[in-house]
Amino acid sequence: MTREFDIPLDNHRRMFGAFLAAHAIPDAVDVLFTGVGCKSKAQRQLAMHDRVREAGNKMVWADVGDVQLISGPAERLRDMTVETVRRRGNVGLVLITDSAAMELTGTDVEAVLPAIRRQVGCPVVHVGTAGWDGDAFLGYAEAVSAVFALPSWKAARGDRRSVNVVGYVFDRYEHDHAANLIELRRLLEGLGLRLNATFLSGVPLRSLLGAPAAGVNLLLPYARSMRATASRTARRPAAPCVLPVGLGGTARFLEDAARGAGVPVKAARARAAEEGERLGPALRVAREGLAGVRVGILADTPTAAGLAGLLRELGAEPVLAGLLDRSLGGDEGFRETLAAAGHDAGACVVLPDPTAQEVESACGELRHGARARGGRPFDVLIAPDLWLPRAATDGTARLELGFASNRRHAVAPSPFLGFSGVLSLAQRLLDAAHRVH
Amino acid sequence: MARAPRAAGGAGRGTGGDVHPPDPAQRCCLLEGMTRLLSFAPGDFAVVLHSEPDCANLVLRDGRVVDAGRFFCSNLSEADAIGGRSRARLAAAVREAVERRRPSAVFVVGGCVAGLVADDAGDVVASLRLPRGVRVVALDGGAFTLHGQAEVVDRFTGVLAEAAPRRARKVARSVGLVGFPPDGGEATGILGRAGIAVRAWPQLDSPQVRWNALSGASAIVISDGRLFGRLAGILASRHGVPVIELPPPVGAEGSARWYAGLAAHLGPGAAMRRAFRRERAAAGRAVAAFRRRFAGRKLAYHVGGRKDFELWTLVRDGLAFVPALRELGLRVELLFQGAVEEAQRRRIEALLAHHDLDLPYRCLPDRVSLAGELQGGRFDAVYCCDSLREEAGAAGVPIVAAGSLRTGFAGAEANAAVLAALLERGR
Repeated sequence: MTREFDIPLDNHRRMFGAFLAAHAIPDAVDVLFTGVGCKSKAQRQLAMHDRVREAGNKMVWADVGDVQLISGPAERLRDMTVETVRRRGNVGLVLITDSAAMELTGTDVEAVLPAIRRQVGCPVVHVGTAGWDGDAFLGYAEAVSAVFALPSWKAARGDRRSVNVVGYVFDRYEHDHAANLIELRRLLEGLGLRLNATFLSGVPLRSLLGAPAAGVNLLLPYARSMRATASRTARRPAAPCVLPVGLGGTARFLEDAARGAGVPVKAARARAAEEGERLGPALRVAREGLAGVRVGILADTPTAAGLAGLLRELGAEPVLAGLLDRSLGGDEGFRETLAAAGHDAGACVVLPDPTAQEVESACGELRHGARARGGRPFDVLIAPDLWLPRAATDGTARLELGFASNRRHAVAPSPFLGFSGVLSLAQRLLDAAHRVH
Repeated sequence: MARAPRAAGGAGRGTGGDVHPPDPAQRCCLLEGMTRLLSFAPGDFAVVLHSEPDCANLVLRDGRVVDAGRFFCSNLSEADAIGGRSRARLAAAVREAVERRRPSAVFVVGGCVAGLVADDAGDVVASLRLPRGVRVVALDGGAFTLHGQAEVVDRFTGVLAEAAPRRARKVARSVGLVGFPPDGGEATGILGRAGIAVRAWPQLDSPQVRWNALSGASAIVISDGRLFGRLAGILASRHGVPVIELPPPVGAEGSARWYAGLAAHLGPGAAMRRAFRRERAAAGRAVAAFRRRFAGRKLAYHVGGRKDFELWTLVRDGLAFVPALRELGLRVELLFQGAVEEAQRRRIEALLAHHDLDLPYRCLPDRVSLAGELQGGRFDAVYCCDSLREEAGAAGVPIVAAGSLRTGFAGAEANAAVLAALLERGR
């Protein structure tokens, strides 16, 4: 079975990832230096996912047509960027992205940036987003990296007990992310740390420019491409951390953060034990309802690993993990993250960057395997709003999580990170498994 | 208004042969438009995109689409594009799609990269030896070519007509309706009472079989020749079906004109008038009651804010509901999003003249300008797409969501009720 000409289940590329970063900075504008159709690769993808903040305002597109191509696309980019900023009046950051076709035309975007910068009066960054390869997480990380370089890091080294979190994927202004950010702050405060700035978190650029007040940068897995450069750029230590999903994953995050910020690791372990005890009675109820429930997961690698760990902690069984990215570690990264949280993948089928056909094939095997139940590959499927073959969906309860969640909107706090996320996800799993929404 | 059918349509021309002013809707690329429309179209076909992987992100893959597995992509790398391997990859992708899906048709759409390297998709597919019964249609988009949304709909529905079987069961005194949204059964009921059957009434996301049924009707009614000109031409030339162009039935009087227009072609007029008498009276009462309370209120009608290939954005250049709102006694002012230069003003004036509308208008450079325009214009309500709710909210002006207004006599009543509730709540 070849997949050479298939479209993967998750096909978002750098352009969308960079756009997502612009969406996560309220005063940023993404200038698409592309042909006319690329708007739909970016803004339209978010239109139904974020029902709080309309994504259409985040983007202007240069509408490069054949006329502009002949008459000078760089001039078109300069003029329309300057005009947009002048008209809007309150733009804090201009992010310029481009496409594979624009790259082929040989237009030198970097050459026109100084002229744009002189005229707009706000930072202007260019993120190359030609969509030959890569994924949205790379585009997001490259945009985060460009924004991360903007503060005056030369200032005196910040307070080591104050930390920045880098690489948080903020894809909508709904209460799932608001609750996650509250939980991240709470987790760090539990270690005696103060959360200073989060790249990115729905705050304007000026808030991010205050990042140098912190002494340490904690890098979430989505900022893995920044590992080599973050400490050099910021002149401060940069500590990689796992994504805090599940009990073990969150405990590991606390340890990583503690190490990075110079807090004794035993304090992190004590904190995790304390939280585990607090959640004990509720999780006992969840375990009773979820024991033996078979779950399929379609999520990016760090999230999928966190969820697989959480399922084991709740007595459920992760039987399929489709990893919806091309840059976050794949099969090996999944297993390593799971191991870091104290679990193993067991018999879970791991599909890096799957196509619909590969998911269908895996579901077929799960349906007819020795452990199959009721002709279903699994009882619950945790996945974004994706078109999936019937083999994966028939008779299966869906728990919508991740990008895009077009049908499930968070009108009340519903975190998926940290210990609060453990409770919230346990509740959602319990509801889904017993179909009592 | 009846217009002669034409053999081939395209943006920029009305069915009467008069030069149509440029479409005020947002421009698009062909790949974007065709993938969007084909995503929601049930049918036995596969689609091959000839592009780098990112353009395949235009294929919707959420739970709403029919079958994302029908879409393939030549997934060009930079080395393919500049190394002369793109045509070979396209050929391989088409073969793969045929082998895997065994479809009756394959649509090939090229993106900007394919255009830049001058790949002729039609030439490539013509050279392929494929199993009998598989039809491959290459749609030439061209690099960086700006297309109108109406033109894309025209090409899409033209492709469906091309793919339809040559023979269809003819039904006497029947119509096919194209480009009219569903109306809850009103038209079917009224036409039935007048002795006319509705043979087919496909929507853009209808299964191919419903489009195929159009050729069995004794006449086709289309709402806009710019959107359905190719389809109309094929139906007329291949199947001998006469095509009538009538603006959508909006408002009480607009609906009456629509049925009268049909009767003028299909007759008899007296039977038709009897058939809608009751509905017309009820709609007229609702309109009159609305006018007594709200006549003179000011409504902004926003055009050009959307790129979703929907009928209500595109039919009659997005101005289809203006007559119904004026019938309600509202003072309508048009807001055109897109450009503010003098050339744009000339285009808009030509457009308004084309639609015989004498209305004040303003030009907006972009969507974020809407709030300022609404505040400055002291509007009581704005007709615009829902995605502009933040701008309208910032101006404190309530929204009549584009797409929420309905057609037909019952629609006129419903629209009056919706607008009355909105205006009662006020700013």
